[in-house]
Amino acid sequence: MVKEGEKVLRVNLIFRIQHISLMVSALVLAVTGYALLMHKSEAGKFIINFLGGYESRALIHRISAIVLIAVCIWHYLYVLFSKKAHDEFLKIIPSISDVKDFFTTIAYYLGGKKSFPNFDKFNFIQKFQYWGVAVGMTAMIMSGLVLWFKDISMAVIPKWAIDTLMALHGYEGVVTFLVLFIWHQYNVHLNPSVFPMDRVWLDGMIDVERLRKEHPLEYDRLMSESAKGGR
Amino acid sequence: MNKMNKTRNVEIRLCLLLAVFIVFALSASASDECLKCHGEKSIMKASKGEKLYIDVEKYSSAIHGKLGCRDCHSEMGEVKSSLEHDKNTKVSCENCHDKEFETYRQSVHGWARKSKKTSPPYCNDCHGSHYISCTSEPDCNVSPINQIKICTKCHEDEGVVKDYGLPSVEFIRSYEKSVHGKAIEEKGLLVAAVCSDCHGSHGIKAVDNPGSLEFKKDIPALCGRCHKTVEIEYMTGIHWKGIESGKKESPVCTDCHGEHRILSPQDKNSSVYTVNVPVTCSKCHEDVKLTEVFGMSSNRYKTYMESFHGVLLEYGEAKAANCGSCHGVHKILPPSDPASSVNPENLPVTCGKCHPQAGVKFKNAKIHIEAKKESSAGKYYVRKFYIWFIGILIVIFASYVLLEIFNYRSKKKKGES
Repeated sequence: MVKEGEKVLRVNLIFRIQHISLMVSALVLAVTGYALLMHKSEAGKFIINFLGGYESRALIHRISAIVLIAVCIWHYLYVLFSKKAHDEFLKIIPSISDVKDFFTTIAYYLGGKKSFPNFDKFNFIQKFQYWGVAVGMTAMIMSGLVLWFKDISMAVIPKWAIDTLMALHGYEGVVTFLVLFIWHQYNVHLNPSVFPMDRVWLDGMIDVERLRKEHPLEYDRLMSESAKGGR
Repeated sequence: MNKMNKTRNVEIRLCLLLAVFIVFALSASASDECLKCHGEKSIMKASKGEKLYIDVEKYSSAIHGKLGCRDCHSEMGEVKSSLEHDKNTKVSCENCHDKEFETYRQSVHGWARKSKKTSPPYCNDCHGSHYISCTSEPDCNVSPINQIKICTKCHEDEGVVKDYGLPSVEFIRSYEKSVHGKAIEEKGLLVAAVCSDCHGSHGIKAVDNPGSLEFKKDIPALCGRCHKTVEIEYMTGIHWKGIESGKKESPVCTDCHGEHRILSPQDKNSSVYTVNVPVTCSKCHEDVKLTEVFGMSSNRYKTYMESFHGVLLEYGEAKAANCGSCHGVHKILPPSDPASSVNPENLPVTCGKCHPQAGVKFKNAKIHIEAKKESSAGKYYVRKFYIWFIGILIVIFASYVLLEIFNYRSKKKKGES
């Protein structure tokens, strides 16, 4: 029986390891990628020279890419083949209710509605975050591999397509940066409800109180399950 | 009668021979007369005595060693006593070397001499006087190694440079660091170009108008005297075609390689060192006026520097392709020429030099990518899409954050009250 004041598991250890690996590799990729994108600026020059020049920047970028690709593969295999993870994955699949929730939230903030929407385990922001990253990672990994294995690419892909993918890699990198390092950081650090930091990513635990407030549908499910279990 | 004539002929010949002998004997005795004093080392004790002493042995082995004193000092009067003789020691080299002297007279040094400002070089200032040796001898004043010292005596003299408004001492001196200067100074390569090889010797002309077509036209042939194969290659390229068709902006050797300070392409300071090549080419090819006047493609430098090749080069990775790697170096042809390495049909071969896999897919490929609809539609639309997408995303994020914070604050206020 879950009681008030207690904590419940929200994110398991494997997901947390995946999250931290993704965070570190994406951070390194962003810094080294930004340096190349801005190679003419002082900041870009500083980073490239700090990392030991052009070639070693590329090497660090690619090592991080391997980590990131490995994390992505691990994650998808995990949510596909582990029953526990798959159940979690099903909860993050977007549905019509997320669009409704979005508009209800806006209406609530603007004062048009008195009630705030009831979220399940993942609200529309979190779902958007997850799928945005999923699409972004796919685009970044695909275009990145084309650029990495340029000799093969040049033999099989037209030159204009390589040039297009090169441009895409740069711009999509900026989008990913915005989503992960601005939008996501706001939500887990600066958002008034969690400031200075949402600690879920470290211990995976969430206060029952907070769960009831922010994810009432998940709270209800948990309560009924634990009531069944308690019986 | 016949016999008489014959004897007469013999007599005349004998007389002539005698006359020649007497002349020689006289001149020899005249030299002997001079050397009685001037051949003695004791004369050096006199004021300016060092100039008066003649080292007989050294003199006789010099190129003019067979000439007597009066052959050159022809205006010298009678010598009555050793101390009170005619001091007119004037030497007129033109009496024998008339052709050289005429060339000299018309040269910039000859003209300067006419204007009598200070004292521009006369024959002896470069060649020396009594002990002139053959130019092929290493100790000759104007031998490749020595002439550098001879010319710089005046051309690295601040006073002279200022008087005549000559090119700066620094500029002259930069030759020492050049590939030519080092070849002769450090490696002892006598074939390396020294002053006279490029500027000429007796007939040195002032560089009146360095940018003019007349001046530039002659440069390739001049450098080609040593760099023949390069000259031949250059002559087939578009830059020489430009000069030939009267476009004085078209570059010749010196425009890319420099003048006095020509450095080896392996030297990191060289204008044609791989990392510096794009900047050197961009002087003309990124010039708004020139690209407009000659209808050359613009933004070549900018687009190159944005490419991976450009970025690699910018960070000193010398292996990356520079302009010359694709376009050629001396024999540069326009892309429209079927023989050009950058003709769309030839790109697989040109790119294939470094990227063997870049086969048929590179035929007609665009290389200098600009995000323009006509030339690189893919990049253009990707760019366009993301600019809008990122813009909209930022607006949504920002407004959502503002809404949330505003709501949180108003709720807090309500809670407080």
